[in-house]
Amino acid sequence: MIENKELLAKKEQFSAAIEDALHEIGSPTVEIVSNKLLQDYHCSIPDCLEHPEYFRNILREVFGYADIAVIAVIKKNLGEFSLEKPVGEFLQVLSK
Amino acid sequence: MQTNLEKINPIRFLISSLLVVGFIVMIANVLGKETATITTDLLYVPISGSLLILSIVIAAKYGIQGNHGKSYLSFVGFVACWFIAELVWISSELVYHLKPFPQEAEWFYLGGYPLLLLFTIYYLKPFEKAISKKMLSYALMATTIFLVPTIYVTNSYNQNSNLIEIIWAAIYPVADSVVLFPAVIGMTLFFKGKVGFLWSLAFFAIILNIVADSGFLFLDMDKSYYTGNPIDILYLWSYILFAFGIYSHVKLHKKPKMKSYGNTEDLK
Repeated sequence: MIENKELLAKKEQFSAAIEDALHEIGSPTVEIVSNKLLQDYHCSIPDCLEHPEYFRNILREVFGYADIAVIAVIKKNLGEFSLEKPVGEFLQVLSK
Repeated sequence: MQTNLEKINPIRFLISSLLVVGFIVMIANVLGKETATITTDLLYVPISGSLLILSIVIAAKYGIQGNHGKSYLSFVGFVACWFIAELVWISSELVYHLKPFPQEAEWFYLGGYPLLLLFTIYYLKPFEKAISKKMLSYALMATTIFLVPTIYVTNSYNQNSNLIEIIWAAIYPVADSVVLFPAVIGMTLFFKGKVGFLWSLAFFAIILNIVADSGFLFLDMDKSYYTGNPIDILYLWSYILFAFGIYSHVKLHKKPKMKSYGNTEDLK
């Protein structure tokens, strides 16, 4: 139960960092990425903490080679949070 | 259920639109110069108007926040300038029967370029870190390839025309070459991405403008240009390419349709 709550809190923090990065481009960018995640993988941004490859694929599909700039902003937004296990693994997959 | 509009392949629709417009202008030319002028003048209104409507739709979606919000706002400004320019050109030619070049419309055409440049700058700004030296060198190469011959042509044909006409005509290919630089960066940066379609079409639209403006420069100095000349097809195509590029972005915002898995009981 406590573990679930912790994961939920992490997912919220994680989701906020990602949405902020996408907001920097333009608010509807969050909508584009969320729509694509839902359409292709039936999941939302917080679920990507467990499925980073979904998020990486969507970023590449939408932004092409410019995805590395979005990933850099996400890394910056996550800050120290990226040292924690699931977030660190997420970033590792994203950087591949 | 898919609507009829959704069933149409956008690439096929784009190619058909380009062919239809080209065909109309060519047929009008066969019927005579006057028919070509009236037909082409009237074609500019719905084509540039459609682009204006689509750009307003996407700008309204983004608002003024974020880099892309500012970017689309600049794009609306650019298209509005060119739309007004088309209306001024048409009215001076068809209503007041004046020689439309160089006239007041030029200020609107020229005013559009800084806004188009702003669109590209704001759009690319969030992706600055992904722009490599290789991309910059491609962009520089493309700009030089188009800029150098334009300057050469301007110098070669300046004996028989007056200076003001040469400046007006040469300023366009030069401005086109300047906006080509970020367009090449955008095209290579977003390559393989869904947003890359807009940039590829914008790149080809700018190329068409460069070729058309250089052709216009040549024909105007030669005193053989008239509205409806086949070179106008390139200007019309450029609007169509921009319009389809913006439409591809409008489509990106469409809410997804969930796939049906038939009887959900079977999945259990």
